[in-house]
Amino acid sequence: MNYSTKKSLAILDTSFYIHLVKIDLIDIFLNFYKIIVCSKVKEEITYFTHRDLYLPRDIELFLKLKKSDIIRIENPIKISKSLISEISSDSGEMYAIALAQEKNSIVFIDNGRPYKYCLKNKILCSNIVEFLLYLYKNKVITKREILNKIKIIENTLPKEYLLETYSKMD
Amino acid sequence: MSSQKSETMKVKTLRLKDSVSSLITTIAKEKNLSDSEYIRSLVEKDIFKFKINKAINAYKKREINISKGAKIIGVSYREFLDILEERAVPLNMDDFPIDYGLASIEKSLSLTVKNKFKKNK
Repeated sequence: MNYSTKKSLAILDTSFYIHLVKIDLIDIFLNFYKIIVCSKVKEEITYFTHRDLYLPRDIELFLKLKKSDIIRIENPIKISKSLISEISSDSGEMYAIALAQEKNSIVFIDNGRPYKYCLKNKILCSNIVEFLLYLYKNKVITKREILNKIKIIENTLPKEYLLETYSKMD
Repeated sequence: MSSQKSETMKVKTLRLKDSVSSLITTIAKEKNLSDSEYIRSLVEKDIFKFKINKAINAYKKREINISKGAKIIGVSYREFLDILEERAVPLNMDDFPIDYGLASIEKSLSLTVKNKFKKNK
């Protein structure tokens, strides 16, 4: 696969990053985008408790990618009042959206309410299922691959939403 | 990354039926615990379950997000995500207009990328 060397910026929220690693798509994602995360998202990704026996794979990978400057940490200069009032304050997604707005970049979020805010404010926004669908539509991955990957995270996806996704694949 | 903090403890007394009290002693012995350690573990487990149910219900009602749910229970973001997955509680994604997300990806890539990828067969 040959990709352009010039990549777009993508701001990631915690759940999207965790899903991306879980379904083994981080390499493909990095062929399209340079990843930026906010400090709060970094904190959410790298926080783990004594109940975890091993360092989760996504944390290990995150630290490695950050060390190699493949993932960069940046924070928004300011957060609008409307964003603070509509999104849970002090959450990673609030900072991610504010940064996407400032940088005129896309934000990848796997949660409904912040996504709606993006829609209302015309902020480019997407999620893990749509990224999979994009890859499928552009023949980067096959239908079998997309179905296998969805299977890994299907418990976290609403059934109606999945049915709609499948209908877009026909 | 967190470490387990040691907390101060308060004394609470409780009355139990004789039968329950002797069962506690039997089970605690089998688990190699003192009576109070065993009772404490039961109480802590139930509080944890209570917090999980509370957070899940609030998440289902869309009153909180994943970060807040994790805080309520006292677990990491990842752990709460796992709890939702284990209990087959879907993320609040049902209002996502798929076409907007796809269009966003295309637009974001057209901003700086020449988008000339080709699949090698």
